[in-house]
Amino acid sequence: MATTRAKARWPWLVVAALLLVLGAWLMLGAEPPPRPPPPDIRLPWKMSDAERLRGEARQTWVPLAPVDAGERLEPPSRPRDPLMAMMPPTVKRGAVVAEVSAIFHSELGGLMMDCLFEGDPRGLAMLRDGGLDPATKVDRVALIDDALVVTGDFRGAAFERFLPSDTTRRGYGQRGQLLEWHRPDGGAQLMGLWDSQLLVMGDDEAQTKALLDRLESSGPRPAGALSEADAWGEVYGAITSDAVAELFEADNPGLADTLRQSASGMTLHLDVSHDVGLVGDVTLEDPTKGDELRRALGSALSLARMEAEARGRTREAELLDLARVEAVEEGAFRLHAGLPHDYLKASLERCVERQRSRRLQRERDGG
Amino acid sequence: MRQLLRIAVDLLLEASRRRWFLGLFGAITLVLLVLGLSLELEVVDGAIAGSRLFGEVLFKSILTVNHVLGPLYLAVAYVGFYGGACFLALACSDFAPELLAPGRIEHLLSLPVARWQLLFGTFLGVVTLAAASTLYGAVGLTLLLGVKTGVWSAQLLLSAAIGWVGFCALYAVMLTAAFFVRSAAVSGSLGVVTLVLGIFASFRESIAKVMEPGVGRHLFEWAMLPFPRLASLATASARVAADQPVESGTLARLVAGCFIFSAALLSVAVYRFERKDF
Repeated sequence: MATTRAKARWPWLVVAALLLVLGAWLMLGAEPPPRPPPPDIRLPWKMSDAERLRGEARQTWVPLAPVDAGERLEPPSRPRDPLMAMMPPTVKRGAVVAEVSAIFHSELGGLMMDCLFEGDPRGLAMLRDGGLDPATKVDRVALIDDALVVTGDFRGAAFERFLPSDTTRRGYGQRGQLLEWHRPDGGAQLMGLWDSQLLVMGDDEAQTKALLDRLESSGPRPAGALSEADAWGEVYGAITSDAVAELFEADNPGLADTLRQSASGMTLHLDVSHDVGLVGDVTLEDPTKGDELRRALGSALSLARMEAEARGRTREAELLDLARVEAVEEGAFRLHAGLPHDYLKASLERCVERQRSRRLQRERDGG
Repeated sequence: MRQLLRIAVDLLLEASRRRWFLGLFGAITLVLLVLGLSLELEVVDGAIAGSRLFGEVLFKSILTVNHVLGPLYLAVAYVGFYGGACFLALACSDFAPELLAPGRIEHLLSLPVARWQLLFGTFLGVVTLAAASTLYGAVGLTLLLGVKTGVWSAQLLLSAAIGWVGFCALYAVMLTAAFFVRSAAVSGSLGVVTLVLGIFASFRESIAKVMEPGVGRHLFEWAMLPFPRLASLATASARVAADQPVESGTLARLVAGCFIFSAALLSVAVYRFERKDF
């Protein structure tokens, strides 16, 4: 009887051993894949030491002091960055500066150049021949309302090569020059050149002259829409609430209205040295409505993300996921968003490929 | 099979008589109520515009509901997995010692029930009880967050089911231990120890790398092999809850590994039970 019971028991141990071996084999290496780390986006929170030094090196223009009967009325003012000295105190839409040279020399600068010029390499060759190589001669490009301002080294640049043959050149102010030509509609077009380092092209003659005049004006003047203290990141600027609201007008008129009523403007800074990180500070006209606006913006981002997800645009949804609306203090709040390096690189590579295909198609069509 | 189910039902009835159910479900209800009353979420167009827990602001930023719920579900799943495993290991520790109590075991053995049926029936009863409480907590939390945010997700239920699989492995060890030492304290402690060993087993390779090469390291690597990868299972459970990608093949192997480990331990328990005299 005892022998029978022993025989009946040991198979349980064999089963246990076999099951343990089977379980061990099954679980060997069965670990969930490591969680991918969130993309590391560099955000321009404040001016870096390199940007401060860059800004100081640009402060070369000493505005003229007011003089009365040969007597200087005020001590000479501190040197200014000519582009910042040119900034008007108020803007209708905004003033945005792009550090073109820094962008072209960033990690993805080469791809950006290719994206811009791969489709028309002759344009780039012409610019280089005319002494206006965007990679070496252009420093910054600024949009001040409808005026375009380009800074760089334009000594020896042959502007006439790009302009109509009837272009005339005349002096303006202390260091300025005006290049003028006739448009096909009979009107005159004007371009300002200041000290071979600033190119100004306003919407009309008055705007071009006003910008040059402000640069060389003497005496006290109100602070500009942007100053040297704002010059950090690769793109920076100040935009009015109307201009920001226009971005949302078509898709979200309610948000556009709230923006117009509550915000006075937005200053923004973009870091594009590796990926794209955007930090925008929204200043409020009416601080009591700040929370309402902050919520409306947060909701808009949330809706956009859900819409992108619903339509299967997962990459777009992931990017919107990186966007944040943060409360900073009374009277202002902060937005930040990012585009990861890989995403940007892939987009630029697609752009270069597209431009190349267009060029090849044109060459084939042209014979 | 009928005998097995009868024993499981008997165990549940006994738990109910001992107001065991009341205590367990009361505790879960209390947690849900406290969370429900203290968590304030203001949702505007799918974004959490304001959030407070016990009056303290949770998120200063405005975040999408999914963005908040993902990490929240992740945290809840982790807490549920480890907290629930520890809680249930201690709460269920006296079922097996009670089964083997003098007087009671003799009575049970006098019934027309095989010993292995008695053992598997007890296991089935306890894991059913654990499944019911896990389901109650998961459904309650899903309803709570669904009502508060307007976003409904059944992921937490799936995650709770994975957590329950982990507890099955723990209880198999606890039940087996009771046939060697009839003590609720030992049984409960071994449940917690198995949980810890299950965490070590999940990080077997990483831990082995920092050990001095030699016999000790090999011994550790081999000793950890049969243990269920409980930390990996917890991670998979949390990812399922947060709607993050989980490799289904890996998850299936982890779940199957837990069940096979449980079956192996129960086989040892049957071996012990069959030769034990009462």
